[in-house]
Amino acid sequence: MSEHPADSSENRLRATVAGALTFVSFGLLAGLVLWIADFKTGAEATESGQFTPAQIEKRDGNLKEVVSAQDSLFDQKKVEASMASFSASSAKASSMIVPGSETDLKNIAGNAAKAAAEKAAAAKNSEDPLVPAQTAPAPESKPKKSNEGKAKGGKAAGAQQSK
Amino acid sequence: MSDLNATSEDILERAEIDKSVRFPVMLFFTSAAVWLFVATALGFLSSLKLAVPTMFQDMPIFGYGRLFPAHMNALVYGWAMQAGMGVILWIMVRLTRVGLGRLQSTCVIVAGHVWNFAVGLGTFGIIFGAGRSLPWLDFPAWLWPLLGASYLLITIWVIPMYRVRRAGGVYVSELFIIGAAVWFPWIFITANVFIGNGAAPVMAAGTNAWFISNLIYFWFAPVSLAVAYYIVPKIAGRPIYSYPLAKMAFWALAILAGWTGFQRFMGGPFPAWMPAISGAASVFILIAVIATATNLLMTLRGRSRLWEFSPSLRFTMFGMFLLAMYGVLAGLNAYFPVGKYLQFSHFLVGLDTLAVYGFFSMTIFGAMYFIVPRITGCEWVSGGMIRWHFWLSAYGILTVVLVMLVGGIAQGGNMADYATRFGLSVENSQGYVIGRILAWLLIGISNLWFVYQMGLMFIGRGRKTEGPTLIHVEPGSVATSEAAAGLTSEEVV
Repeated sequence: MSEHPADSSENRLRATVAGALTFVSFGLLAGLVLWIADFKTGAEATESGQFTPAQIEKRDGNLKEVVSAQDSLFDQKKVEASMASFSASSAKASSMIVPGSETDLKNIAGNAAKAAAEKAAAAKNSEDPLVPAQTAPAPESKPKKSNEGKAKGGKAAGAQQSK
Repeated sequence: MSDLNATSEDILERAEIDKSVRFPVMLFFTSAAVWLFVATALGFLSSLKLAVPTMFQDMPIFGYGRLFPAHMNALVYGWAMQAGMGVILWIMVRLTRVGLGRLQSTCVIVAGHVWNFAVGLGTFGIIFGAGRSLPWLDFPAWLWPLLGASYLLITIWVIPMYRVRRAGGVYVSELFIIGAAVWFPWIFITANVFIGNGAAPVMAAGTNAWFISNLIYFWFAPVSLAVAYYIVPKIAGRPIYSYPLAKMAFWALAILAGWTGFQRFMGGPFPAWMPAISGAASVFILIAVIATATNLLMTLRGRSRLWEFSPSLRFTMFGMFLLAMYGVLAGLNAYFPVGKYLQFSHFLVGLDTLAVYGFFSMTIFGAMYFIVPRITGCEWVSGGMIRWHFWLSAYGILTVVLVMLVGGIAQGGNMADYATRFGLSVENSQGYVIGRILAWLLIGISNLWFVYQMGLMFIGRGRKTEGPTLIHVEPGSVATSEAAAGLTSEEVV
């Protein structure tokens, strides 16, 4: 392979060095951009003496003003009182129901069963001949499922009330 | 196939060249295959975690905020970049006819191990809470110099190869490879230097988006195109339809890709011209995509049956189809009336996956099915396994894209509606998240086939009998995919 005129150690070395320099140049370029932009964080700028004493004094003044304004809105006594009452209260289950949780699903099933029962009772009592009376499901028309729902719903509703 | 027309000197020379890169390329391919499996498992777990948030809830290492970045970084740096580096080295030595010397080969192998070590350390770092929360740059900050240095020691050799190339002209694949080799250090160093030097968080996010977009357009796309412009003419047995069109695609990518990235934050706290220019560049990149699609389809005109039989061509052309799909979807997402709904939704995850596991990985699989038998001296065990790998991967990636696109539209629509609560957008996208789990399961199974076959090739247990392994054909029953497709050989490429 080395009989090709362009294929010499010198050419290979030059190309390798040129390639390495190209790669490294991207880092140098990025560093150069940062240097030209003279980008510094606030702390770095202060440390490097970028600000005059007058500017530092003004910045400190601004900071003090902001801090005191924020402090005036903050009542330590109120926080301590809240913390004390919070610590004194014993942990108890929250009355909030997590959407999609077991309790929530039980409640939904219970409410649905209750609504169905109310609707059936209303239809039965209704004198309107157009509203068909709700009859009990025939044994072959999946009674187990609807009964299960009712049973679960009733139990869930009871459990929720006891809470 | 053109190999039939090669003289005995050509065959000997190719064998010599293949031998010079055998160990480095196999190191990258086998490590990449292992990382692919790890990344796929993490992808599946992270999708599962999204659907069942309470799973392992007391263990922070199984949090979605750690699993998903670990998955993406393992996929990008462990699988994609390693496999890509192996392909880059092999195609360059073949096209330039300049092999790697022993010293160079050793250097590449050492750097390859360092790369693997760094990726392993970075992935563990993310899982144990030392990640940076910067998509695709999540590895701890102190690792990037190590990754950068090992990348330099691996790919630097393509530059002297190109300089002292023995083949007279310049192949389009060489252009794309040289471009990718040089562009990656630019975007990687620039992003890390700017983000790592106390950049304002808003600009860090913008630079991060610029890095992701450019890693796709400046590395994944050129490497895929280099593979396509190498494999398609080789298998079709005829030259590329139009060289000027191929060069136009290269220059369109070179000029436009660097401007993309900020469209991901359209409407964000940036000067308006930044997302506007990025969006326009993303749309104009379609020029390169259309030019490439036309060129490859015209090259295959009248010989498209080959893709039924050749694993390499099948994966490569499917990868190019996904590249076209990516170009169109990314262009659409850069259009404000569409992008404003989709920019913070599942759609973006689907789009990024389409780039890494879609067009890039499919093309790289095509290259691997072509390269590995040539450097190991044995053939893939079974065409049936390759077919399974293809179809499961294809269904997997198309499912990811579809569910993330439709789920993204549903989620984005809910988020844009101020009258509804945010939780509704999460609830409505749950079904699509389950689709994503199934998709990663399919991809995981497909990769099991691939890793198994790659393992056999690595330990020299591939098929030793005559003839290539083709799809739909008994191993060794025909000499080429052309013969299997009933086509006549045309000319040497």
